[in-house]
Amino acid sequence: VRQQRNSLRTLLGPRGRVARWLARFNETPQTLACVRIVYAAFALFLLEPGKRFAAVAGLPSGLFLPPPGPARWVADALGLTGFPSLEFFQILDTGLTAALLLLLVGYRTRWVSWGVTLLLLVGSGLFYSSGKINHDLLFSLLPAALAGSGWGNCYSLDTFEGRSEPHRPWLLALVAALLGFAMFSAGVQKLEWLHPARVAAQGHLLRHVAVYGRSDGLGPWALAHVPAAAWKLADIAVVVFEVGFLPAAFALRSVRRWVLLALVFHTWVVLTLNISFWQNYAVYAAFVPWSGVLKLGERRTAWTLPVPSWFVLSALAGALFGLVRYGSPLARLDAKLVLTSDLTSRELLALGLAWLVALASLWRWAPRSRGGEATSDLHHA
Amino acid sequence: MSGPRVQRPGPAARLFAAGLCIALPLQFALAAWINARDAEPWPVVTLPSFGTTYPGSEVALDVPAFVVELADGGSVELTPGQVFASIPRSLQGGLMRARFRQTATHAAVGDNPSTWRWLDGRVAALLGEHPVSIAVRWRREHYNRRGERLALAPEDEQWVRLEHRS
Repeated sequence: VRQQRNSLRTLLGPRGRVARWLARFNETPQTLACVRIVYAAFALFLLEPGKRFAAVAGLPSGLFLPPPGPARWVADALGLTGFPSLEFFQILDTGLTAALLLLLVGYRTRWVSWGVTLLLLVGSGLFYSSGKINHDLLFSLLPAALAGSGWGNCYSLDTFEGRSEPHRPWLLALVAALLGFAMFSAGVQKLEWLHPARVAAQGHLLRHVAVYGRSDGLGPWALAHVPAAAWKLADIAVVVFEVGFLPAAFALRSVRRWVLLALVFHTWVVLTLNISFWQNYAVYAAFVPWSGVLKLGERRTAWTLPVPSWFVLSALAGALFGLVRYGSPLARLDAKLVLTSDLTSRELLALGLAWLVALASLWRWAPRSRGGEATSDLHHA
Repeated sequence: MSGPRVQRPGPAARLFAAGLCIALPLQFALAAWINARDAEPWPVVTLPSFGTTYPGSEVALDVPAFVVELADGGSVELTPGQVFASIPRSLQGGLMRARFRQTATHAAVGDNPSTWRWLDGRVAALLGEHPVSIAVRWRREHYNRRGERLALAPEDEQWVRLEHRS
């Protein structure tokens, strides 16, 4: 019994392995606030998830079959036999946009974070009732995972109005675990890719070019010119990268390195398969050392609002009307550049911005990381 | 100005973190079990598998199309992209596989009156006349590794005929 207690203490005690793992994710309140702002801005101006959900509103009820899980239980309980009306999706979009705007300015951040996740899950559950599941759950879960982290403690209306949460940067470790495991699970399902006689990445590229018409960029060129040996190396590299994400997820610095690799991976996938999987960028942004990248003061958390908070909330109401009625101004970019594939200008813009942030992180963060982990409030405490 | 109060992870938080590490593989295994018996469950913490691999010499791809028979006896072929133009392309392939494909254990669930009515209206909007019949053809196309399409064998087609029911 004593031995079991000791093992448990080694694992779960205040100085145990779990505590040490969590303590490695010791970001500053400024960085967490930037994660919040980047996430909300990304969702509001680039991704517009509420508008995306509405695409299934016109589908026939015969195609409505929620996936096994909570979506099906709720549909059965409510007697839903078809996709909700367009009006329902418009209300959902309005609620989600409002919640994201409040998250952006950090108003009642904790509750709003949960609200964003809940609304995203409702929309996704209906969207995936058409039979195809896009694996973007991490994007939906991120606000709930960081709701209690204190990511509303800086650059927020909460700060201005005297509300603050305890600073819990270690919640980032849970996001890293979710991301690491999700990547690992994708890699594990690809173990057959390692078989020397099987074609994997090249076959998928062929399918996307030939069947789905995703022939923008380097796809057709890669099919014609990249030798078979290079494709097999690519197969192996993808499996190693995805499986390796799990062990990397247990320290902030290694997660950052893997996120940089992920950006290289996504760039290749965009250039060849024309699939951006851009929801992931918002999750990767949680591991960017924003304090260092933007040269934010380490200890400064107060923020003086130059206008009264009622003015900000009124401006938000105007922004809500504009975003719900007319959509993101960046959506106009999609009409300027129409590609053969379904890749949009906004997805390319998001990739470009991700690279900008990655290069800035390397520039600012690399010299600091050589000298050890960034100074943190957790260390000071 | 000092920062907000730092809260170290307490026993409950440490237990939750450890529990999460156990729960993640368990939910993944459970999802695989449900997927084998019913359909892909949601939500599951995972990313796209792209698990399919192909034999070395050539790649066989199943390509769906709606084949519409018109009143004058002619037939017109429509791609899923044309029929489901309102939904993102990333959803179209999965929708076709999940709803319009007959497998050994599952009928094509898209074969029902409401879907027929919807497709009827959609074809009328696209072609200017109502169809006499609609079928989904799954054609297995073969490509070499450079992306060149190879000859098609007659047995490489599977048809799902949608019944005209009201």
